[in-house]
Amino acid sequence: MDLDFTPDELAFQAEVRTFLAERLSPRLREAAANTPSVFVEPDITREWQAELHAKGWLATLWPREFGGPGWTPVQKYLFEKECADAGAPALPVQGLKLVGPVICKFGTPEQQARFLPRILSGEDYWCQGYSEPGAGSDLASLACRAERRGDKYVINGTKIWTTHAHHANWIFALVRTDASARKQDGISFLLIPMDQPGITVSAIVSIANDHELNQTFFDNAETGVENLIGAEGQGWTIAKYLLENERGGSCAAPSLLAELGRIERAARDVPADHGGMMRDDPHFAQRLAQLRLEAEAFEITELRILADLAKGRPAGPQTSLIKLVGANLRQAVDTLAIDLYGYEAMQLPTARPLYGNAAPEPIGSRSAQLALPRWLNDRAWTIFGGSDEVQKTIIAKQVLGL
Amino acid sequence: MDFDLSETQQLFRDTTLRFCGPGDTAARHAARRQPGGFDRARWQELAGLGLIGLAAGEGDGGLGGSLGDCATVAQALGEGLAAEPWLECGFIPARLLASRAAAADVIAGSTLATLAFAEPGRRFRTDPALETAGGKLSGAKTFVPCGGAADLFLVTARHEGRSAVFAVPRDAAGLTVQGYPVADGSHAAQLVLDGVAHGEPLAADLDAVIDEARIVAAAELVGLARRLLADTLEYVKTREQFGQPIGRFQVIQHRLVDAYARVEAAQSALYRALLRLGAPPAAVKGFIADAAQWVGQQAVQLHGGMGMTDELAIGHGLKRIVLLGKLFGDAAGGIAAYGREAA
Repeated sequence: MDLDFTPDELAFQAEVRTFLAERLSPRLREAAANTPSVFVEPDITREWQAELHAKGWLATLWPREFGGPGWTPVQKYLFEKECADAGAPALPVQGLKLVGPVICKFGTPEQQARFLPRILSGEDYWCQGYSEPGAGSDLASLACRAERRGDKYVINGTKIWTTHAHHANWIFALVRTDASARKQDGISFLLIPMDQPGITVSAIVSIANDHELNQTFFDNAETGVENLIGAEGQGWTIAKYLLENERGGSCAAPSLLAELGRIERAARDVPADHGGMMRDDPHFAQRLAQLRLEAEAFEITELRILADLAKGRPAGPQTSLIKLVGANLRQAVDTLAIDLYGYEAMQLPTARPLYGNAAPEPIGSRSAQLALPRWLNDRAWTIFGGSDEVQKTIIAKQVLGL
Repeated sequence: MDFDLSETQQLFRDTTLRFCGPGDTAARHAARRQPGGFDRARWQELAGLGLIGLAAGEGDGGLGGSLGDCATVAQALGEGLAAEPWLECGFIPARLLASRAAAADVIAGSTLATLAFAEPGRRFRTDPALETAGGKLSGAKTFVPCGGAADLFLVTARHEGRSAVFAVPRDAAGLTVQGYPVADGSHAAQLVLDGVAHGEPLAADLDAVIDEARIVAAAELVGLARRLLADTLEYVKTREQFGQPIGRFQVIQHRLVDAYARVEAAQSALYRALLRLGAPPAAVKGFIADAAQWVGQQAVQLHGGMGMTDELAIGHGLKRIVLLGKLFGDAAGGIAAYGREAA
């Protein structure tokens, strides 16, 4: 057992660091740091995406033949860690991390040639159509249906929690193509263009005043039959592949540790009620240390999975552990932040964005202004992508054999 | 021994719940869109029911309600998810102004008053650093509750070697008010006082009123936790996944039993504080705020994505819980102080 990086890996890390120092602009850093929502706005991510695309470092989860960088798991980790430490904006996951890998694995050569380059270039912006008002944790009970008519599918129904559907020009959706089959077997994975009269997007504003989510309605919307991924009825298998990517396809610990570092530095300047600074308040210091320990252990848990992947062992259901622990840790870190800033953490601006010239002036620091909206939005971490309750059931059944 | 509400308390509870109505979020959004994020007409209605007067002494033009009476109203406002800052702009000013002439307008609901106590860089401290000098006030206040809409500021200051409170109208020369939205959607304010003339300090004991306010805040927190638990129980009985109401799943049942246990502990802690037994108000409020926040977080979690939206009452309740949890000191500070005292 060792945690030593090879000379090549260290050279790679240095290259990433140099790239970030040169290409990650102050505007992008500011936008990333001052985004309280889970996702970053597309005008920001497009700019960063273009930089990474030009360097060939964009689609880290894709095979090299489709434009992936061909990195080892260790390189992916080092890249994510350097990006987190540098404060780079999170990339839009729907195209790059969700549907992209699906098209790489299940798509036809024609689909791959048509869609993958446009994800890389940013020409296409994707959203995800999975949940429905009646199908959340019980995703397989979804009712949105697609009916084949000639060379088209006609789609009717609704999808909810469609992140950035108001920005997207494509949606990938799980739809029911066979109502008579067992519920998982009647589901297909369909790519649907958003810009058509049969699709309406209705905004859902979050408890923190952010607009990331939507409900998307399909009223005789259409897509060509060539936009079916895999075979009819194969949607559930593809969905599970995608969800495992969503749950385990990233390295979360570096950003959590970076955030704890920022909180610690801020705490050196926040006066405590009984003299001294909050950094030295015994209760606060203990909570900070406890979270550090958890995040440090979590980093090794993530690395253990990466090491397995590097040896060709499948990731499998333990990615649920990553999602579960990462989500709860993030919420605990956010709670530490709102508890640090006192009354300054109670400001909840309604204006967006919180970066750029039009951003409202913070009360105290910008970090304090971000603390509560972030805490509120991040309540979603234990809900989206399979709630805590769903992850625990998966682990109980598939890992613990209960 | 009797833990039932008195007849009068039951009357005030019913009146308050009727005032709250269904606590729908549309009405709340409409109120928040008004200047200062505040609905004057609703406030007048609340005052007309005698709910502000309840907090003032009989000799001061009020109804002379006990702290227990006031806690009953606060808990009902919590259960009703009221958007009205009764604690901040009703209870506290009524207690502080007492026999001052301005009290009548506060009780009538025509003057909106609020306590300006927090100061930049002084976290949760309630002892003011701002000092009077030659009949004038100069300095800054922050997180003034509902300061965006308030007409009258009750400004704390160090005066002749002790904490004092001065009534300063919004249009006083030298006073600058800057409102900003906070957790519960109301608009707090930053005040800059630049040589604002002050009169005689109010007679009330600031620390005693703040301690009472902590207990009343704790009562509203109990009400909020009860409401969020009730809404969540209703939801899990009707929301179906995997062919059955999610409330049939044991993991959901046990979580809600934990929530129920914490709500009942919070209610008992509140009663104990009202009986003036045991812990200081800051610690009791901290204990209750921790319980309420946990219940609120579970309410969001068990509502799933719906709990994350601005359309449901759940999030509004959680945000009010977070704000009350910090008002006049957070749980960590309040509980730690009790620890030092008990040692």
